[in-house]
Amino acid sequence: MIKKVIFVVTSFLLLIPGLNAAVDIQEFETPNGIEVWLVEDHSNPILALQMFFLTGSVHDPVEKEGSTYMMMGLLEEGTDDLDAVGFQIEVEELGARFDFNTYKEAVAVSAQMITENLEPSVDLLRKALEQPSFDSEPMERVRGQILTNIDFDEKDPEEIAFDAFIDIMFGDHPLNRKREGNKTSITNLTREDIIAAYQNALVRGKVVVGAAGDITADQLGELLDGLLGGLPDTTPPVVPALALPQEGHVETIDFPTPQSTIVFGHRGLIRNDPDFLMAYVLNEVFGRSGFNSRLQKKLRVDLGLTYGIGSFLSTYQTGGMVIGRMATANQTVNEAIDAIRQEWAKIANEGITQEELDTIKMYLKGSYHLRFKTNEDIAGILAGMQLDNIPASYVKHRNDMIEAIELGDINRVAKNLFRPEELVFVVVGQPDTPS
Amino acid sequence: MTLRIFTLIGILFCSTSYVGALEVPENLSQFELDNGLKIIVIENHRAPIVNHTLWYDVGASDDPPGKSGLTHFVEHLMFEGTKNTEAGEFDNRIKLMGGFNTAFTNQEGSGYTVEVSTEYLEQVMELEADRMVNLTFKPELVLRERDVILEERKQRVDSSPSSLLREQLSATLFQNHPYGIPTIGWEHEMRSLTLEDAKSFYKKYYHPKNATLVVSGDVYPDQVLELAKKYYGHLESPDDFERRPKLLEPPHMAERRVLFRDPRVSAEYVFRKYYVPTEIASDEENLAAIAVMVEVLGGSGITSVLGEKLTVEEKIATYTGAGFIGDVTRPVVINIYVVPAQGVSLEEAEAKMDEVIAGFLEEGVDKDHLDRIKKQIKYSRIYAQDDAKNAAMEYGYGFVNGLTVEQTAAWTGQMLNTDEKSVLEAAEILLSKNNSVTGWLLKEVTEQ
Repeated sequence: MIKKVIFVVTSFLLLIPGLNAAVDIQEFETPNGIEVWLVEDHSNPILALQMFFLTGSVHDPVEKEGSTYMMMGLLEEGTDDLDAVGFQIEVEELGARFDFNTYKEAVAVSAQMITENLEPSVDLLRKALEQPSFDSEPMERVRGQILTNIDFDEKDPEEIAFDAFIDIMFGDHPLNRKREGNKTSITNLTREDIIAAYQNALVRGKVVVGAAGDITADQLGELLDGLLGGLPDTTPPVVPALALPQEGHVETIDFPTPQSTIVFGHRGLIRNDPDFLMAYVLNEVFGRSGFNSRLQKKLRVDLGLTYGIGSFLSTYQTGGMVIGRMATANQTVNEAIDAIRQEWAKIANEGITQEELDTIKMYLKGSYHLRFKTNEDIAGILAGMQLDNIPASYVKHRNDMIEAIELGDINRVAKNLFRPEELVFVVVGQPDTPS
Repeated sequence: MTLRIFTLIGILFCSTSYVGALEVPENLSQFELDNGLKIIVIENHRAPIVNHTLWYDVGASDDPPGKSGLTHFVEHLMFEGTKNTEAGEFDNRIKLMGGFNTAFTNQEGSGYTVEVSTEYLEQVMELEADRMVNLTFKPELVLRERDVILEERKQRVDSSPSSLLREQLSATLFQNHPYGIPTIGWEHEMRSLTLEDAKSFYKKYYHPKNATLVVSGDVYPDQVLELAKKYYGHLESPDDFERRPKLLEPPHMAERRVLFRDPRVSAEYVFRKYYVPTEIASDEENLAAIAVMVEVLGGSGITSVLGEKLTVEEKIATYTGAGFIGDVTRPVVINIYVVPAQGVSLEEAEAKMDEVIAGFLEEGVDKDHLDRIKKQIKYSRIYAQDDAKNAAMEYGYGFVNGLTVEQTAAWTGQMLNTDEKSVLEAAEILLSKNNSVTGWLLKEVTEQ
């Protein structure tokens, strides 16, 4: 099945930056060599698993765009001995919750299972991963769903704006391939293409697992070897290097709507950059902290131009970006763009203040453990950290690292991170011509 | 396969009661202060976190005539400063605690949520109690925030043909009840909202007697009660508080159709809303049967009756779904939609939808299917315990929707008590098309 998610421009980064949480992470390899992190918690009889396989839509062959996405959508649509409806009925009987997702650089399998049904639930998931049927019934239905979703996206100003922005940033690089593919590629995908995507992606050569809930490490190791042991032990191919553009401009896409959607930004840092944590903290001050970010203060609170504006850091293995989005009436687009440019120049030139730094430190330190709330949250964080090569010990030291940040250092990073002359704006709507 | 095409799913499944308990759970305590403030404490020691949500029994249905959007406007102004705090300071203070806060308005209620580490509970109470009575209305802030809600309307509604269709459908379905008017408001009325409107509305509805405080998470009832007395106990409620009279729908006597054309439409679909008459929906057993019936018919993608027939067997649809919203205390609406497969017309999709409904009534309810849904209802209760917020929201919504704690707690049991016969009887409402409006979302064909 294919779900519609609004925009997954960013890969995983928003999961990570954390604080010293009171979670005890057990890090181990299963007998078959699968890397897994576990937070054991027996207070509720459920287990949450999050698995990432490091092949994503970036690995789709040319003209086969969307094959990984469609393949993942078909994993819960029938196995060798169950048709699509039969498979879903089993899931419902067991009260299991499976989710299969595709990102640009990874595919994700997540599961939540009730302890009393754990064994049959894991067995059902194993069949989905090992013996998907890719029959024509679910395949044509899911193809129709993807085409319908592409139809919806084509007229969604937010999607149009993000796609155009990503197209400017990624150009010919395979990261520019939409995970959902395009109408032509989806229409032409064959069962063989889906099987090829399956053989590329569902391999245990590079899989990371986060788990949280009602299970011990020994039980989990055995469970995972049973679940993934049947998959081949190959690794995904390497993605070419990425060079992001460095020239700013404004691009307008005509769309009949009273309010324009604006996506803006430029190149940024990769997750493993030594300055990444400071960049993250800067963006919290600048565009991510609810009503109190600089962008919100200026454009919503002072100017009343928008219901909401925000920015985030988007990271991939080979490159990163600073991206923002907002919507404003067609008449006020130019005023909004001017205000964004001013804020961008201000933080680049002057950095942030000691007071802003102190406030954001308190917020980031105090809020970290709130992220480790449910088993599902924890499993997701643990798997996301492994995906980004962040050590488990980060959870214990993260708040100290934040505390240690000094104003001079972070403002040096601000100058490097925010580049007003490189700002690309994509406006989707019918804005007034600049006066 | 579940549909996440539009936020539809939110409407269909927003009955939070779905994960309720069989009886008032042991970890729930109730109190009432002398000034009328009701307090619900739900213990959940899963994580050292507390969720503090203050619910006011005032929703968009309470907007005075000609002032649609006022309830939601006041919700925005709650962040704009009090006698003791500057505009924006509420957020700043919560942020310094590392906390998360948000607010929401629907047709029945307004809620203010803060989630923080347990040690900050007292500070949160002090701040929330302050803005129950001390809001200042600075003219320049009020006008600026009115611009913000107008932008919010553009972003949430006017930018989306699906949202506009739903707004038109509700406006057509309801003939007397304020549910026909959108929570965000009609634009021309939003433009006319004034500082005086907001001030008098706030005075009338924001006081202890009209509120319920729900605190859930790593807390103990005595501790919460003591703090609540300290911070909320001295606040006063007006003596002459009177709510608007409850408006009822007249009998619906005509099938309605809405054809919504928009150049921004790329995928067409059929969306029908049924109004369930109060004499049926106000009975708890009937309503539970309706909830389960809707789940059997279209709640779960390809394993539901609509999904299996139209997407898997006949292949005339890419997505189908059904859901319901409402309570015994307020209007109940059933939603059904079909997104046709490529090459299938809306006319055919609607005819097939009606065929499935007629067949469902003829063939009855499959016992295995019903049993499976009941199992899922039970399992969903286990999952819900993973986050203390779930129970808090469930009882909070129950309060603003006019339900007692006991009624909210009983809901799951009522669904589990349904049988094939009661579920089938509930489906008969789907035959009364005079209670319904059917919408077609259409591509606008522009003439060359």
